[in-house]
Amino acid sequence: MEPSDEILAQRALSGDSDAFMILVERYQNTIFHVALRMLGDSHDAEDLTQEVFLRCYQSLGRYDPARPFFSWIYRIAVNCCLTVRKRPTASALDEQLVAALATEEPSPEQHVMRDETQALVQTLLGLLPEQDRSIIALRYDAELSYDQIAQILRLPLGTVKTRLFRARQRLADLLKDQAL
Amino acid sequence: MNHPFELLQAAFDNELSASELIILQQHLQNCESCRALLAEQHNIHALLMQSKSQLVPASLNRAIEQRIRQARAPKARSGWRVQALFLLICSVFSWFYWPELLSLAQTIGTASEALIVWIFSTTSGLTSAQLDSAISFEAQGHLVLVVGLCVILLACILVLQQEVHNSHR
Repeated sequence: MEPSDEILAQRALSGDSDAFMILVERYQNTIFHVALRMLGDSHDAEDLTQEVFLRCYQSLGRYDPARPFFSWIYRIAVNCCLTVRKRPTASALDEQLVAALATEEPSPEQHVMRDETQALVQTLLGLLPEQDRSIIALRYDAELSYDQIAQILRLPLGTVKTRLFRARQRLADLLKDQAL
Repeated sequence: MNHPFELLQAAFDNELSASELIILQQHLQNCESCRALLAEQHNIHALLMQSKSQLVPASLNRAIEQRIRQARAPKARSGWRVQALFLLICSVFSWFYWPELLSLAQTIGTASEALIVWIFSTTSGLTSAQLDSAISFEAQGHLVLVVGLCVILLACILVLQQEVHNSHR
């Protein structure tokens, strides 16, 4: 049976850095995807993922093993993303939107169109408030439940559901605006 | 027309009761905007689900490992503030109540000594009188005091540990 996150964190705190590397293996993909969703750039997401794990490792003494490890590390990740504040300016967004929409010739392949729409969705995510982006990233990239998201962001469960619903609605509205 | 956003949200999350479902279905039959809103929610949901396709860079794990190996090892929180406060309280208490503390130590020490003598006599086969004669009267007095103070100190350490543990939460 594999040791739990909490046990690995305890072992890492007592000097076993290999135990921490197991935690890295477990969480690096989702942390990277959450960072990518929030920052919109692969290089920034990679740097931030490294930063999150480093910060986690050095703050292990402050981790309370009575609480779930995932909520602690995701909270650090979200806070790091919010600190980086790589939100693009309105003019930069316009350029990105134009680039995403500028298809001189309509693509014959359906999946290419889908990729373009996805790129557009990612760009539009940049227009959402940071809190909404965090919720979307935790829901769709980390694939967490509403309960877990509420625990990480320290919000009531109902607020998480409402914000996610409204965030999707804003995205749909933005997508419609761009199509007009 | 009032749009039942809470019901729409619950419908999207499959959390509607049977009666709520009927209410929403009736509303949706007559409300094009709510039908569109629900369809948009599913559309955006699908797009968000599909867009998590980017592969994680192969170098990421190695880069993290390198930084972790170079970093200083994490340290457990010392909880020094709690310890310092506790020591201060103990010092003040001892200053004002030293005679009472010694008396308490004497009582605890006597009880502990009786227990130790009983353990020694049952394990070594010596009688308590033989054990008493092996230690001088003066030494016994000191021993009682030392044992008593040790027990009080041990109790303090246990309380302190509990405080430090609680401060981590």
